[in-house]
Amino acid sequence: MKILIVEDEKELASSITSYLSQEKYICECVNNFAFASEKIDLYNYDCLIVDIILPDGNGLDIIKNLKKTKADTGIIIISARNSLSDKITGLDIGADDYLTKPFHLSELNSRLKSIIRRRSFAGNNEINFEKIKILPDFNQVFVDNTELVLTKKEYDLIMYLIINKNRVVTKESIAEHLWGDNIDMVDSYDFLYNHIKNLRKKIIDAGGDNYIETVYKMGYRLSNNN
Amino acid sequence: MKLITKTSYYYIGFSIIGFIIGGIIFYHIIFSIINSRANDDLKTEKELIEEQIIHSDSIPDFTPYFGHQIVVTFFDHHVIPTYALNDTIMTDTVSNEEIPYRYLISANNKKHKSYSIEIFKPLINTNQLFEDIFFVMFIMFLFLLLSLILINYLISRKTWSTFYNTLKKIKEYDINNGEGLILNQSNISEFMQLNEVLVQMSNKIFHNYINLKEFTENASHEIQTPLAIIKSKLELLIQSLPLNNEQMTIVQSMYEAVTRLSKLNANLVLLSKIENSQFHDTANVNLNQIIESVLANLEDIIAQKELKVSKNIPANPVLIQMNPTLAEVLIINLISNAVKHNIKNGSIDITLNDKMLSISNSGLHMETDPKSMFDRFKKGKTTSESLGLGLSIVQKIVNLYKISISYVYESETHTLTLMFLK
Repeated sequence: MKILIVEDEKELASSITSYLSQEKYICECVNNFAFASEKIDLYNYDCLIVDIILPDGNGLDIIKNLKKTKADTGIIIISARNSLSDKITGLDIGADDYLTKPFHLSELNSRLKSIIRRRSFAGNNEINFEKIKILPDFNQVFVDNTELVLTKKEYDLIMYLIINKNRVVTKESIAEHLWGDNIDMVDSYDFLYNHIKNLRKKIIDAGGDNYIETVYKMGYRLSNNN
Repeated sequence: MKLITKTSYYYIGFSIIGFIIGGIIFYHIIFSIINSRANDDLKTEKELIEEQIIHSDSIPDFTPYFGHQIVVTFFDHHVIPTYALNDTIMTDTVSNEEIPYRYLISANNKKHKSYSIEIFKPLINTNQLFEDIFFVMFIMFLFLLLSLILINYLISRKTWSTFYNTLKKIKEYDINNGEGLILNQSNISEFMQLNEVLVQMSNKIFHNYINLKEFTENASHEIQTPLAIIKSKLELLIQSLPLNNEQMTIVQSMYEAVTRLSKLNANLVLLSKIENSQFHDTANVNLNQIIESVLANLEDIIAQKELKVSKNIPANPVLIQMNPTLAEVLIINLISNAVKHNIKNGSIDITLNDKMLSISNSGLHMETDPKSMFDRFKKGKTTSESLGLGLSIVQKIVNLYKISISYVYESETHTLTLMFLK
C-alpha cells in the first residue's frame, strides 16, 4: 500500500508517517504543491492524504488533476478550515473524506482503512483479529464463528479498535468517533466505559479472550498480550 | 412619525396660531371700520335734517328701516345746545330681544328755531359679525392649510426622494453580498454629503468585516495546525510504551488539555462565524428528521442514564427556513444539554409544532443566575468540565433567525422554548 502525504507542516506529516508506517504502509511525504504534482504524475498511489492550504497552491487542484488521470486513488482531505463549503467542494471534486485539524491519528487511520477497503475488495472484505472476524459489508462480527449481537455503537467501537489494533486508542478519540465532534458530552467517557464493559463481556461469552486492554488513564488497546 | 407628518403638524400648528392672531386683528379692524361708518352715517343724517329744518320748517321724510328712529322736537324756548354720540341698548318690543343702538342727540338754536334731533341706529349684532368673520376666516384657513399640506407633500416627495432611496438601499444592504454600499447621485448638497459619508463608512465597515473574516479563518487555521501537531505527537508518545503510570498521567493531562483547547477553538470560531453571518445559505430544514437523528445518536447515553424520552412531534415534517448546519448544531446543543444536565431516571420532553419547539428536562436547580445562562463560559456548575459555550451558540443561532428563546424552571424541570416568529 502506497500513500502520499501532502502536508506543509513537516511535524504533522512525520507524525502521520510514523503512525501509518506501523500499518505496513509505505508513506511518502511532500510539503508543497509542485512536488505533489510531480509525484502524482510519476507514481501510482493507493491513497492521497492532502492538506488544502499549501504554500504554493491549493490542495483541491491536486485532487482535480489526480481525478483526471488516476481516478481510482483514494483521497482524504485534511484541513484546518472547518467550513461546510470547503467540505462540499472537496467531496464534490472526488475526495472520499474530509478531516478537520486537529484530528486523532487513530481516526485518520480508521478513515483511511475504510477507503482502502471500499476500493480494493469490493464486497469481499474480512477483517480478522485473533478469534474475532468482522464482515464490514454486512455489519457482522463473529467470535469463533459465533455471531455477536451488538448495538450500532458497540459495532463501531470494535471496528475502531480492530483497525487501530495493538495501539493505544484514546478515550477522546473513541468518544468523537462514536458520537461525533459536535457533541460536548463531558461524561461520555463513562458511557464509553460501559460500552467497553459490555463489549468485553460479549466477546468473552462467545469464547474469545479479554482482548480489550485498559491503558491507565489514557484509553484502550486491542491486543493479544494477556 | 414620518417627516412629512411632522412638518405638516408644524404647518398646522403655526397656521392655527397665525390665523387666531390674524383673526383677532381683523375683527378689531372691521369692528372699528363699521363703528366709524355708523358714526359718519349718523352725522350725515343729522346734518341733512338740520339743513331741511332751517330752510323749510318741515321734517325730512326718511324711509325708516327696521329699528331706525328719528325724533325731531321743536321748542318755543331757547335750548342749550347739546351734542352727544353714544351707545345704548334697547329692548325690542316684539321679539323681546336686546338690541344695541348707536344714537345721536343734538339740540340747537338756529335762525330762531330751537329744536332737538335724536337719531337711533341699530348696530349690527357684534356676535353675528364675529361669527361671520370667524366663518370666513375658517374657510380661508382650511383652504390654505390644505394647499400647504399638498404643497408640502409634493415638495418633500420630490426633494426627499434621494433620501428615501438611500434609506431603502441601506435597509436592503447585506454585507455578505461582497460589496460596499452603492447610492444614487443627488443634486442636493446635503444628501450628496450624506451619501458620500455613508458610502465611505460602509466601505470602511466592509473592509473591516473582510479583515475580521480573514482573521477568523486565519486564526483558526493557524491555531489548529500547531494543535494538530501537539495532538499527533502525544498520540505517538502514547504508543511508545512502556510508559509508567506517572508518565501516563502527565501525557493524559496534556492530551486532554489539547483536545479541550481544540474543541474550544472550534466553538469560538463557530460563534464568530455565526456573528459574522457567514452561514447565509438557507434551505427548508426538516426539524423532525434532525431531532430523530440526534436522538438516535445519543440513544445509548440516554439509555444508560435511564432517561425517559417523550416526544410530541407531528407526523408532518416541520419545515423551517434556516441554514442546515446551524439547524443541526442548534438541535444537537439543545438535546445534548437536556441529556447532560439531567438526573438519573429523569425525563426529557420534546414538543414540536409549526409554531414552537420546546425541550424540557428534569434536573436540579441551577447554581447560577438563569439570566446569564446564555453568556459565554457560563456553566451550570462551576466545577463542570463543560466548555460553557453550548447555550451561547444556541442564542447566537436563534438571533440570526426570527426565533425567540425563553427559559423556565418549574417543578424541577428546565424548559427551553423556541418560538418560530413568522
